[in-house]
Amino acid sequence: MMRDILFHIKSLIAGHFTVFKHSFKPAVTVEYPDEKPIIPDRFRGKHTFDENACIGCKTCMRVCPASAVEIFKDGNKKTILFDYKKCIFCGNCKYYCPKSAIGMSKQYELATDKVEDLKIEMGKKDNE
Amino acid sequence: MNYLYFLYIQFLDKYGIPEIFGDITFPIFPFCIIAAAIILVVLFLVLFERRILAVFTQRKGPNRVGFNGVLQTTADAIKLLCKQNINPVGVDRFLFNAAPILVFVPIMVLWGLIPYSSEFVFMNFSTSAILYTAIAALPVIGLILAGYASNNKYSLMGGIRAAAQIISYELPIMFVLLSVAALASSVNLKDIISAQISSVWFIVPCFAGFIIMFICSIAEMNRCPFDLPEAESELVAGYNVEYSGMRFALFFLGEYASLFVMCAFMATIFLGGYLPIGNKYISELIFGSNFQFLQLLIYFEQVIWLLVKTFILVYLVMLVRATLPRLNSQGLMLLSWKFLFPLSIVNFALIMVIKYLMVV
Amino acid sequence: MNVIVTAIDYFLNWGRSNSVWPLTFATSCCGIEMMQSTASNYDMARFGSEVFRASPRQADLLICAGTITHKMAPALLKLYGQIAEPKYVIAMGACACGGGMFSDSYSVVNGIDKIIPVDIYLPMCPPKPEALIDALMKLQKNIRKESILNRANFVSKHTSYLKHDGEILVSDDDFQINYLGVEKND
Repeated sequence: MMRDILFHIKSLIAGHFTVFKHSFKPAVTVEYPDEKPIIPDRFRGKHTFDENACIGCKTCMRVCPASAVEIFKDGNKKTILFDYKKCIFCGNCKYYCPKSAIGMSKQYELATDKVEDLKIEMGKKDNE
Repeated sequence: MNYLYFLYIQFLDKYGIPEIFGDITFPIFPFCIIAAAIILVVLFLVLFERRILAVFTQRKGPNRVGFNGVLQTTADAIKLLCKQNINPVGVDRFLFNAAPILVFVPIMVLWGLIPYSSEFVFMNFSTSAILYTAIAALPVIGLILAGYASNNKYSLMGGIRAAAQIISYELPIMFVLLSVAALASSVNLKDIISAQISSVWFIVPCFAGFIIMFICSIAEMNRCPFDLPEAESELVAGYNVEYSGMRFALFFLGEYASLFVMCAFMATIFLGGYLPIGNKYISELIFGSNFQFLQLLIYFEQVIWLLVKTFILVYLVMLVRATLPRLNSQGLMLLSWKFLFPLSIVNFALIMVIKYLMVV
Repeated sequence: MNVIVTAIDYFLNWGRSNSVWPLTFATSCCGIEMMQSTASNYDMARFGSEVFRASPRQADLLICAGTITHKMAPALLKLYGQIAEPKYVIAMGACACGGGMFSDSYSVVNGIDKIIPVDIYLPMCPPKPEALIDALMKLQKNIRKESILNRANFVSKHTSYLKHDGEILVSDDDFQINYLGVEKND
């Protein structure tokens, strides 16, 4: 009984002292909008598309687990449509692309207030 | 305070207004001073707590609003003032609106009982220490009514828990207060302080009492680790589940106002209140004892000494909050009835022996 | 007149945008990232948003972090209705934006904007904590553009989904929510 109480008091003091010690350590916070965090090399962010490399084989459409990619082939013109309402950023489309036409950038700030912005069409402008 | 009263009566006399009018209207002044002080102190305390908790967890805390985040709580206050007040279906309208006021008003009275400096006491009763503990138990009525009137089972549970907690933690506080009163031979807070001028601060003979009082005060304030009435993981938000906007802000205000006033009370009875360390005032050392406004300076210095002691205690309360997890409801009762209550009686008996030896 | 309105707007929007208190509402894995964003490394407290309220009455922002199934939809609708005015919604993660990889599933609502109005969409699965902070900042930017003259517009925009037609609270092509729960359309 007595030993129990002593043990509790000892652990209470140790706990408070540990927290008190932490108040002298510097903050580890990254001031996000001012200083950007370090993004690892293999981070999978927003897609990139190289319409000249694309051969329109539609492998990406077949391997996509969420069916979020769509390729439109019109003669020599290829456009790709990413539906970010569905995309889970698994990177399968990039991994399976035989010509490495699809890449993934390090951009992650995709928040938007318009739902239309979530459907991203690429490779249209340059081909016209 | 007497000086202010004298000035006011003199001012009225100049315009030929009878003294009885001054007697009746004078309490407006301390009321306004306390109301302004509560809002300022609470705005500061909330920010202080958020920054301190951030420091303990190696974060930065609010630092975007205003200069380095000093206006964060002002922004919160503006938002809460302008937020919608919801009256849910099935609430008891009158009690639902009255409960936050019933919580807040007793705490405001408590602010008037603390002697801030030797002349700056709003209400100086001969039994102010006893009166303090009596009024400190009143906010729980508001909490129970808030729980009952909300038409919500979580609220009701929270209110009942608050009541159980207050009942079990009032008794140790009373016994500790009795031992302090025995040491000072008085139950007037000013006399308790002046008794500490001649002898040591009462934390030295009554250290166990201080620890008990500290734990019980945290429990009375419903703060971590005793925040069972508003335990998020069990009761959503306890007694204030259904409250929004201004009425919730009143609960918030009351919580932090009681945090400050409890710490000020503990500083008064254990740490010598407005007394400086070693009974030497700094302004006396700087300006010499023949300075014209020395007395006035000393009054201000006394307030600052009380604030410093209070904020050391507030810091300790926040350290406890940052460290300990919440007790379960059974452990809360066991801690009070099996540990603190017997210990406070033992402490009382010891203090009586010390007092007897001192007199003899 | 215009000057007074602008001054009040500035004052109110400053207060509102700087103290956005979120509701503790996490239905799946995005919730882990939401917890992280208040932890030491990312620290949402810098914007005054670390005050996660458990009761919807005191919250301003509903961060819908995770998949909403048809069974959860009435609960989400109820929680949204309980939040006091002014209220904002962030749809966090692909599931909340539009069903994500479960969009073909029989049990998942394809985007919470079928049930409640959404202010900010935040895709990715799950988004980084920095992305959530970025979404919060975009929301703050939107709040600062509000005006009390457009208040009625804002309120009607944020309550129209709750107006019910007889027994049905929300009606969609796939499902209906009424007081008893969800009914699937065939």
